[in-house]
Amino acid sequence: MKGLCGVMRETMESQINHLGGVWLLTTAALRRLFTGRFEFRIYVYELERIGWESLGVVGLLGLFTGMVLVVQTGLTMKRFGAEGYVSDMVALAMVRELGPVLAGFLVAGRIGSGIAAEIGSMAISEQIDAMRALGADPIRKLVIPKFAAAVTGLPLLTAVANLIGILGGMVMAGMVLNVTTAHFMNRVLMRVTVGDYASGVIKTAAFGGIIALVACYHGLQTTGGTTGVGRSATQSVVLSCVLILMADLLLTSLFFAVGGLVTV
Amino acid sequence: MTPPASAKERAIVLEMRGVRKSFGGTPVHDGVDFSVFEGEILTLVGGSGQGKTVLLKEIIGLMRPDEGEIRVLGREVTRMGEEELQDVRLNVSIVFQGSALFDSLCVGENVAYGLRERRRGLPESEVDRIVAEKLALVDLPGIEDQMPASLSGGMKKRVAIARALALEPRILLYDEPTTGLDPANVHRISALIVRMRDRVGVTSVVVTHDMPAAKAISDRLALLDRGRILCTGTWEEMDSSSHPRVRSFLEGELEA
Repeated sequence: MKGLCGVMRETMESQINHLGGVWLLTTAALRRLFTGRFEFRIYVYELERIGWESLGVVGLLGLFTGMVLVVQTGLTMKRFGAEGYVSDMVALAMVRELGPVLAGFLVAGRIGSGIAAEIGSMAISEQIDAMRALGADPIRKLVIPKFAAAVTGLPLLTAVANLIGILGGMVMAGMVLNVTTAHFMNRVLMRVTVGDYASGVIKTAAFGGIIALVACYHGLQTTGGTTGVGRSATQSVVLSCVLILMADLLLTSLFFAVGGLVTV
Repeated sequence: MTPPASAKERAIVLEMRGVRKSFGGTPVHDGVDFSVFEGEILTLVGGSGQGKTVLLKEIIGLMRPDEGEIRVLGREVTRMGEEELQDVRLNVSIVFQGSALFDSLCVGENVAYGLRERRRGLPESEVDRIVAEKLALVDLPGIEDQMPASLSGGMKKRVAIARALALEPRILLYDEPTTGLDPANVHRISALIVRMRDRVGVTSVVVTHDMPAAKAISDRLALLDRGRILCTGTWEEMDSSSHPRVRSFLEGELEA
């Protein structure tokens, strides 16, 4: 019987194998992205699926996150007479961190699992093989449009989440802390810089790429019938979320350390 | 057993020599050798798990053998890159066991898929004409707008055959074309395979478990057993064989 160490070693080895596979798929996709034909029609379809169809739920996520931030922090700040600064906190937290990461998680769960299941179903029903046999390149047909749509769509979604989050925070600050709309928005416009917004956009583009590539990789690797499809979807969400957190730390540190894009 | 006289005079279009393949250390093929002559229907039979489907996928380059040579229309395919393989796939098509129609595309788009990928610049009117012609060839005229989900198993198989024929290949590979079909559809698909040979002149390699269908359609059969081709020959030659493994297979004692 395998001990705990054995299980952990197997899990680590498996995750390292997956990371290697995702890296190989990434290089193959990037090579094709800049050569040959770009499937624009499929890209538009995927952009609609990733962007437009996720807009409602991402808007809700932003709204409630912005509101709850005010509830969680505003009352404490009020004890120190600092409730006027709640807008700074809400806007910076949304734009730099919560908007990108939460939208990334949501899209990893909603779209990433869907992509892994869709491609996984195609793999087990030999549709990927059929595609190759008929002269099409599955990376060009399936991976690149989804990758491009996620890289461009997720920043747009996050921008919407940020905006709605700030508006939600503003409404809540008015109701709970009696902070006026004008004061709230003035502080937001004064405090949030283009660099803050850009850092969020760059992060979400990276998260979008991670979600699409991890989902496509797990989909293409699917074996073992319908159980395998479910497993691929789950593994795709787990690995995407872990990689999003790692990429978030890396990029945030990078922005603070060398870019001067964001400041304290 | 040797190829029949009529086959001997024809060119070899497909040849496997010393093909070996293993999965996770378990050998599946241990030196597979056989040839296919132009215009014939060769049926590959053998027990479950012998790797018959793997052989078809190796021929079309969807899998690679560990060792050995596969020559398709005179070209060695085992070391080809994906781009070179695409040239080979212009002349070789495959009908998958589960049909493998694209769920999100209608029948017409499925049949046209290879044409749109490989013959870019072909006018849409010409694509439509070819699609209609191939669907008529498999006795399914006018179903271009239907979705695969609305078709029966037999219809899906025939649409898959029409899709494989759209690029007018010289070699057609069939993976279990009659599995899971009712007797009427088995008869219909079997007749269709023979008709493709007679009318279009396509060379066919058929993998099947269905021995009555194999008897009905085959010019020659090849029995894959324990990782090698045990024997090849006509149904009559195989039926008269005294080899104990061949007899066991034909009498249903060897797992089929």
